[in-house]
Amino acid sequence: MKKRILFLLLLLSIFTIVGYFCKDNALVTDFAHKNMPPCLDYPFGTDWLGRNLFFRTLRGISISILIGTISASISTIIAIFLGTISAFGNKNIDATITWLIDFIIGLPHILLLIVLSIVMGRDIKGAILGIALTHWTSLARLIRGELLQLKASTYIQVAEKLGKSKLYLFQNHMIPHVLPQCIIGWILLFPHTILHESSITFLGFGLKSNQPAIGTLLSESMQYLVTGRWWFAVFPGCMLVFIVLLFYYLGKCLQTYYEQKLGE
Amino acid sequence: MLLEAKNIFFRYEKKGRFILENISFSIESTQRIGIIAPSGFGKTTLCKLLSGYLKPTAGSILLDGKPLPQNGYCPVQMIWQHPDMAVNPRLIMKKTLAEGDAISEEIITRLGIQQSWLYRFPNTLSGGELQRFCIARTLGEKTRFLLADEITTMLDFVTQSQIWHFLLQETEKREIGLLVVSHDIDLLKQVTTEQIYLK
Repeated sequence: MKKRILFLLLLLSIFTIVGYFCKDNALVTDFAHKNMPPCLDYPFGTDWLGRNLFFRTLRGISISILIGTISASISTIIAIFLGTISAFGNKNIDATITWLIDFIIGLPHILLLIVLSIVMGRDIKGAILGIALTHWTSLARLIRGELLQLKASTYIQVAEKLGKSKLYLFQNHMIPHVLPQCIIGWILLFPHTILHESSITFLGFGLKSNQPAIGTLLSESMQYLVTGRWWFAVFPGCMLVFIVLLFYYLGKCLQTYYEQKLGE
Repeated sequence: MLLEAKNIFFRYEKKGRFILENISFSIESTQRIGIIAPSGFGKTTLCKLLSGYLKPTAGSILLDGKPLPQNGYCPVQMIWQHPDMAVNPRLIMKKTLAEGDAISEEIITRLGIQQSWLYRFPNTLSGGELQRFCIARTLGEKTRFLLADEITTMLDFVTQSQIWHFLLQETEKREIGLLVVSHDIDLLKQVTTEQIYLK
């Protein structure tokens, strides 16, 4: 299982690194070969400016993995932190954090994303920060609920009366229960972030066209789909699904690995 | 050692009805006392109060004249009615058992716990098997009183008699006070020396 996890991590980092080196190739325009369907020279075809879609897709995957992992991780950390404080803090802290969660959920995401994106100068940073600051809420609420329920459960009370320390209870009863949910929450955030990134790009507030994230590619392809140029959308879309699946599988492996460790 | 309940009152809600009103009694660590009461009379609540899971609304619970320790190992241990609620479903039994205070191999074998059960998860064991683990867990070296809250109600007669046989031997040998709560009068007459009827 350890090998499988390392293999998946390696695969994901290869995609990220290879994509990084496609940076220049992804921007080369060649009007002699525009709108080419997939062939041996251009496995994913070329777009309306003659740019090689293979390189653009690889570059896009790399950018999307970066945005996805960083913003999903920040979001998850915020969620764990606030969820735990809320469950174990006093009444006022709990009320404040619950109010904050409701407030952020009540605010339309896209608005906050656009504002942050403009403030940060339409950059990757803006997209990452915007997504990270708006997506921690449901996971935080879930963690808070789970911890509150655990706190009241019989087996934790029994362990407490058997003289077990708070640290022990945390390590052996709470974390093993909440961690799988955090990992799943983190994994589920990943495709969400990519979709959000593509939607603000589609609206014209996200990344610029010289940073071809998967969302950029997909929103560009929208105008050309009706003219039958299917390869604009199909290959980047398939790659996106593939990467999301890799992340999902990674999460699954981590979960089984952790459970096996517990069982030993 | 002496475990005393002095004029305890208890209610769950602030202005709710009193579940327990003015209850006083005491038990020596050499005694075996049974408590009989109909359903909904607060038998489990009384056990929770005596072992420190709950605090009485008024009155006090004293162990040798001092209140129960807030932190660390509690010398008054309770065995719960539903063993499946009292073990973490995500831990193997070995780990759950290790939460007790230095449980000897002898107790484990005498309770009829098989070595292979130690590496299984709770959902693969039956209620009777789980209850044996829960009993073993409470029998650490520092335990002075055991509160048995309907611990064999859902078990078959063979298992019941095995468990009680063991508990009587063990508590007698180590001078552990036993408080048995049940609505089964015949059982209480068998296993305890004195019975209290709550009405």
